[in-house]
Amino acid sequence: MQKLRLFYCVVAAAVLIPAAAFAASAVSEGERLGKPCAGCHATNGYAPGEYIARIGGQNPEYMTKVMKEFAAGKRTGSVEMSLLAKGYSEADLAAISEYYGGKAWKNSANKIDSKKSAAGLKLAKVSGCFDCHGAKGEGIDAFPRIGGQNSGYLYEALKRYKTDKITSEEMALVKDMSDSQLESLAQYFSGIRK
Amino acid sequence: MSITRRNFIKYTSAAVAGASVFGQVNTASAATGVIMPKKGKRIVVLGGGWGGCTAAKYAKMEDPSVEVILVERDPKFISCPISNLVIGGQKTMKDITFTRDKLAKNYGIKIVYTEATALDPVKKALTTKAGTLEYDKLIVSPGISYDYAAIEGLDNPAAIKKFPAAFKAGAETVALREMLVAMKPGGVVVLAVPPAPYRCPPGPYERASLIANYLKKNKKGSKIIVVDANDDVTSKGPLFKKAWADYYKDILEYIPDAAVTKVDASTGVITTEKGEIKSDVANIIPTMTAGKSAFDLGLMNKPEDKFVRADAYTLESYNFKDVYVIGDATHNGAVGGVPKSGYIANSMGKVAASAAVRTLNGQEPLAPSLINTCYSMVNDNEAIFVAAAYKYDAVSKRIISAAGGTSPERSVLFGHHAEDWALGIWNDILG
Ligand SMILES: Cc1cc2nc3c(=O)[nH]c(=O)nc-3n(C[C@H](O)[C@H](O)[C@H](O)COP(=O)(O)OP(=O)(O)OC[C@H]3O[C@@H](n4cnc5c(N)ncnc54)[C@H](O)[C@@H]3O)c2cc1C
Repeated sequence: MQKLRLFYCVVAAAVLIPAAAFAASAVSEGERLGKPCAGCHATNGYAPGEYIARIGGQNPEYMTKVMKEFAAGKRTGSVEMSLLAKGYSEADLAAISEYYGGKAWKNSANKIDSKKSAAGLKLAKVSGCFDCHGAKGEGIDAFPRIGGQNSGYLYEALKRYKTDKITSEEMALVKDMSDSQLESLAQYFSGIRK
Repeated sequence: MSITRRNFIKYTSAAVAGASVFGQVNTASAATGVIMPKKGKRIVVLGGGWGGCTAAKYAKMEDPSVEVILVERDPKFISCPISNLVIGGQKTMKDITFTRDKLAKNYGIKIVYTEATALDPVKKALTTKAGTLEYDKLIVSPGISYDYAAIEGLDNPAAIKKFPAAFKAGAETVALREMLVAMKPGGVVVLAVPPAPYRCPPGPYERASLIANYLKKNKKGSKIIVVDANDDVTSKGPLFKKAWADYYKDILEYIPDAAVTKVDASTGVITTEKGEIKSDVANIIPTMTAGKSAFDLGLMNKPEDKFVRADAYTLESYNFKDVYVIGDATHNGAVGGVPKSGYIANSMGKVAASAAVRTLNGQEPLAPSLINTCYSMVNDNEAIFVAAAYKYDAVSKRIISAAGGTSPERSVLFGHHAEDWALGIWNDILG
């Protein structure tokens, strides 16, 4: 996997570098295009609120996929991102994803309801969340990191999977859950501090 | 003058080097000697608001070896975004008041709290009340000034006090809030929208919504009349009008094409192009120009200009090499059709910082890339927004919109995003 990701980086870079090559720059195309994103997602993508996603250290492969889906109008529930992503080429979106994906991850500091979180852990175990997202929600392969993500954002994303605003075979398991169960899951994963 | 230098000039701990030249500074207003003599590469940033703090921080992030000095008059950073919620009663001044300490602590930016007064672009020196600062690159983000004189009867202390503009957050914000709280039920509030371009296009309409919300709950029988110098709501029009129709039908009256021509501080009568209104509280937002310093520093390119022309690629001013201008002070005809927003000032700060650092290091500047999202609350918990991505267009040589639009409707989720946007961008500016 590690190799694959590296290969991916090189390909993305090869596509992107020509325009900026003459400048012998330390600023990547992803950084040039990605810096303004920090106006909502905070410096290095460590969004301090609850409802805007932390993107610094998120899985770049996953992020690239999602960004392309925003641009293609496949995730209309993310209204802001659906508008903004259309302003960038696919190569741009991949470069931005690599830029933020290359940062170290920092866990959310959101306040967590311990009761809901405990219920969420139980539900996560029986639902098999850890199989794809890892024991600490750190993400495996193309599956995103959800451990330490902001709580409100996780809850909203889960609701979108439930109502088919985002289509995903793997996430179809949330369709039978109540909103309160989804909130518990969000509280548990957001509260992971390891 | 009884004010001592020490009251006037506060160096942060990171700026102790400057303290050694304190001795040359005679009085706060007559200092002319060079302070903090320049040793290596140096960027001076004038204005510690949305554009300036961002530029200082991102210059240091791009090249920590460059010395960065930030010149700002006000020791407090008071945020305009979210200040309408202070006026509406949902937030307090504490929620929007910050220090710039982390810029010094985390990035080694030297902050000089003083006022800049003049510029020598040949010697590359910025004169301040604390003394003169030499620079290799100067980034100017002075914000806006009010043109009180454009309205008859407004350009005097009594009228300015009676009709606070509150488009610079701080004492004016508090004054307007207190007037609303003190107003008797059944009172009439007038809110005057200035002609475009002005800072934060949706700002006056968000404020009108939140004042209507406050009146509806707390001041039975009261009304707010919005008199607009423009021929229609200048931003998110259909969304604002829908919220007004749904929530504030008998409370908020909107009158387009009604520029204020005259105010009377003794009677509260506001005269517009469409007639007179007797107000109990009036929020008169005057016509705006680039911050006064932009004029004082000689940055205006044409005699009739009110904003500063700068190259859209680097944001370097037309008038002076190595002097960059960012934020609300920029001229849309020159830089392109970007709104005068905090988010754009933040994006521009990054563009100018990178251009300054790179050219200082003998590299080519990179093409600008900017974003704007601007949320407006229409009541306690619902918001609407506009969002756009901007890029450089090599044909028109301007910054143009690459994509964007408004929210299809108002929602509570957008209200959460509005609040979290502020937390995120305050972190990006000051954290
Ligand atoms: C009510 C309201 C709501 C708003 N809401 C939003 C919003 O939701 N989203 C958004 O994106 N934008 C919003 N804005 C707009 C935003 O506040 C401005 O666009 C932003 O502040 C512009 O940044 P700036 O750096 O150009 O100016 P400023 O932030 O005003 O900074 C200028 C700084 O320069 C200093 N200065 C000026 N001259 C000198 C001198 N000679 N010496 C020393 N210091 C000097 C000033 O003290 C000030 O600190 C809002 C504005 C208002 C009024």
